[in-house]
Amino acid sequence: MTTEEQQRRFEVWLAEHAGLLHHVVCGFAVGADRQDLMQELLLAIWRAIPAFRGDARASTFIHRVAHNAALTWKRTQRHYREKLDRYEAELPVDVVTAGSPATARQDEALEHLYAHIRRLPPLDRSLILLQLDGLGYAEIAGIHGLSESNVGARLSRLKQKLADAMKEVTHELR
Amino acid sequence: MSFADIEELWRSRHNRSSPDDIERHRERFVADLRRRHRGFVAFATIVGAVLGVVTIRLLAHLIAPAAGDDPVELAREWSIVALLLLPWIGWVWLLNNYRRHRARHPDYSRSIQASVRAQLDETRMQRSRGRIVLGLLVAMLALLPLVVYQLRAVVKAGDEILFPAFVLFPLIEAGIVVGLVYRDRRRLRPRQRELESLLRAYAATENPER
Repeated sequence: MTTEEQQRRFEVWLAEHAGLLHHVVCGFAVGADRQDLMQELLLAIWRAIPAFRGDARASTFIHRVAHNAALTWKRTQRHYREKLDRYEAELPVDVVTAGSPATARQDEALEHLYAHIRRLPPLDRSLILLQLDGLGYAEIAGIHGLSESNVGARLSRLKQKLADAMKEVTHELR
Repeated sequence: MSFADIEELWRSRHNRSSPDDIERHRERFVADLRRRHRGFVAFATIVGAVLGVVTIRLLAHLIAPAAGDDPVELAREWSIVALLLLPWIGWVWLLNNYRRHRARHPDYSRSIQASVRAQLDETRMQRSRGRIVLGLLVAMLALLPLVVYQLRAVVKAGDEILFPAFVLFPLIEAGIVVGLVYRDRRRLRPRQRELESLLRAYAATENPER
């Protein structure tokens, strides 16, 4: 595969699957770390492109690469403060202020959801993110190298746990 | 909020990154990729050039010494050859380790679990590589007095060799050892623990009753 082909595929994948990368980043990192993790995911995908043979769907492949990178990602402590400052400086001004009260409530609910997801152990975090992205048990099991029945059992408990946690948030937001 | 509500919230437009964000990430990534590539090329070129020049000059001196040079008498100066062979022995050893590692994980991209296993093995290999380098450094340090003795015996070196051999070289080696130990303690060992913990989580998911 030439660098041009790799570049083309990368651009297409980024345009089509930016959403799932956003979900992984928010599910695994917070604040300035999100920039760092996003760069890590993009690098992992860039490196993995030549290994894509087309025997799985591109989205499954990207999920596997992205979740793998997120699970083994190590936050770099060096220059952390500097990165934090840069991130805050780059934040759009209207992030918090824009939109109606309903929109703000939804944003807040989403942040609570991500916060609950981040509190889960890493593997559970990955499983629930994949489930929320609409992947079936068989696909999730294939991505993680687990059996479908174990994934199903684990996800049933996780879904219940998340719904319980979010019930309290809904009360608070009303 | 039921799980169905959570899924609805998940699919809402609030949970998408804006095109501006994507573009910003893309631009930063391209810049980062270029920087990494330039860094790697510069490193490989400098190391390759230095090693290449030293090796070629030494080989030329051993095979066909210039008219004014004293030829190497292996019977009396074998230790210098042994000293120069050590890095090559290390290099072949490391390459062999790497080949064995690749053979153990031919299909590491099959699943995340397989990939984590391969990464754990790679981290262990990096730690053992560090130990090999440490061993080689100790061997070189042990060989150095003999090299100095032999070079002085054949009058190819005088007292001027004492400072670089017994002060400068050990200091450089000490610096490398500190770097290796720091890398092992601060990066490799914690990474190994993280990967092992992740594999334990996989095992617990596969065997929930354990």
